[in-house]
Amino acid sequence: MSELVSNTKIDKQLEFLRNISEIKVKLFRPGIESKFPNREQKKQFNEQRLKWSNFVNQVEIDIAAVLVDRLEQNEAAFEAGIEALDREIQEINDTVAFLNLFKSTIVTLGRIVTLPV
Amino acid sequence: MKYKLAIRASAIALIGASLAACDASLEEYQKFAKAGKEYALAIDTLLVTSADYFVDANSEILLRSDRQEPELDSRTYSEITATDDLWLVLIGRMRQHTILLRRYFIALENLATSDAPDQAQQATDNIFKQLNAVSTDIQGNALVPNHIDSALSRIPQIILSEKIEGALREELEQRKEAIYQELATQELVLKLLTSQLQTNLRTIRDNQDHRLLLPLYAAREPITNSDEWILKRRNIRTMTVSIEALNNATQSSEEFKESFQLLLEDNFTTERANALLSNINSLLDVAEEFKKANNQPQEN
Repeated sequence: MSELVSNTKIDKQLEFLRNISEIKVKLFRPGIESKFPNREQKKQFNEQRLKWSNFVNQVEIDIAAVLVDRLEQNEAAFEAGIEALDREIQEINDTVAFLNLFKSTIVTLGRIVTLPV
Repeated sequence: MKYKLAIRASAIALIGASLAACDASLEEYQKFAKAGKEYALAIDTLLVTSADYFVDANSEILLRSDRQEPELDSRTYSEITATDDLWLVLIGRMRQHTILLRRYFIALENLATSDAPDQAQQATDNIFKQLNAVSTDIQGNALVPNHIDSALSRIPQIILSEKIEGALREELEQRKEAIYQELATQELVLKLLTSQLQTNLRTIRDNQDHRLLLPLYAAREPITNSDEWILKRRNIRTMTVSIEALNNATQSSEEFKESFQLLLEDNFTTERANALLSNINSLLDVAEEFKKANNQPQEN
């Protein structure tokens, strides 16, 4: 249940990110600066949109950091899984190796019993 | 004696076959493992592309700001570069994790596609041949008649196939919490990457438009090399075409989660497995498209 709440929270953050990103894209449309004929206004606009762009980047980084932590919590389980699977493959290969060894033993046995006395 | 052996062999083979019919078949496990492997590869490709586009979008923003305000100090550059670094560190950690996820699915696939059962059958065939040869040499007749030894030699194959299916099922059961958590988080990672790629691609597109196309068009003199300008404009304006495809392909995460549930409930059919593989391949194709688009030079 807590997992679900947590996912919903991240979903909301992603929704927020989409909205602020939309504004960022609009702030860099080609020719948008021409809407500010005043030199000082243009300068302020440029500074503010840089701040906005950095804010969007920071929100992306914050969401990604939460997701990376969650992913890394699973790593021990996957390491254990890989170990268990490799062990299983080894056991199965050992069974085949045993059968092959058994076959070789019978071949040797066959040679012994057919030796001229 | 021979009759009893034949009955026993048939009974064991029948039990083995009926047990195998209860759970998902090896083929379905193979397809699930392959889908997982390809899924991890697609995510990794998107992560690499995301890192490149993040830095490229910031470079375009720096250039745009420099043209507007040449007196901007190095603080602006440092601030933007710091966010690049933070993003790249996170992408690096996500890639490390994705490599581990891929290794897990490769191990799962290795077990599911093991040829040990066939090798075991071959070895048992040879054992019977040798036993019969020895027996004929000693007592003048074969120990086990041919029609019985073929049934008996299938037993290790059935047992090993059963063992593999059992091990795969046990492994997935044991790891189900981690796999659910992983798939749920990867779904969010894909949403984040889609949103981020979308924003950065549009930012790059509009800034390149502003930097490479608009000045030539707005200049007093007409554009001299029209064909080059058209080609450049096409490359820049069509940069975001794959975004819609990525939005659709990210649904494969949901599909993967559902397939895992079905696999544990023994309702994962071959048709479903094929549909999952096809969806994951679409995601991989889109990821590759993004990667290629990123390597395409805009200034030629």
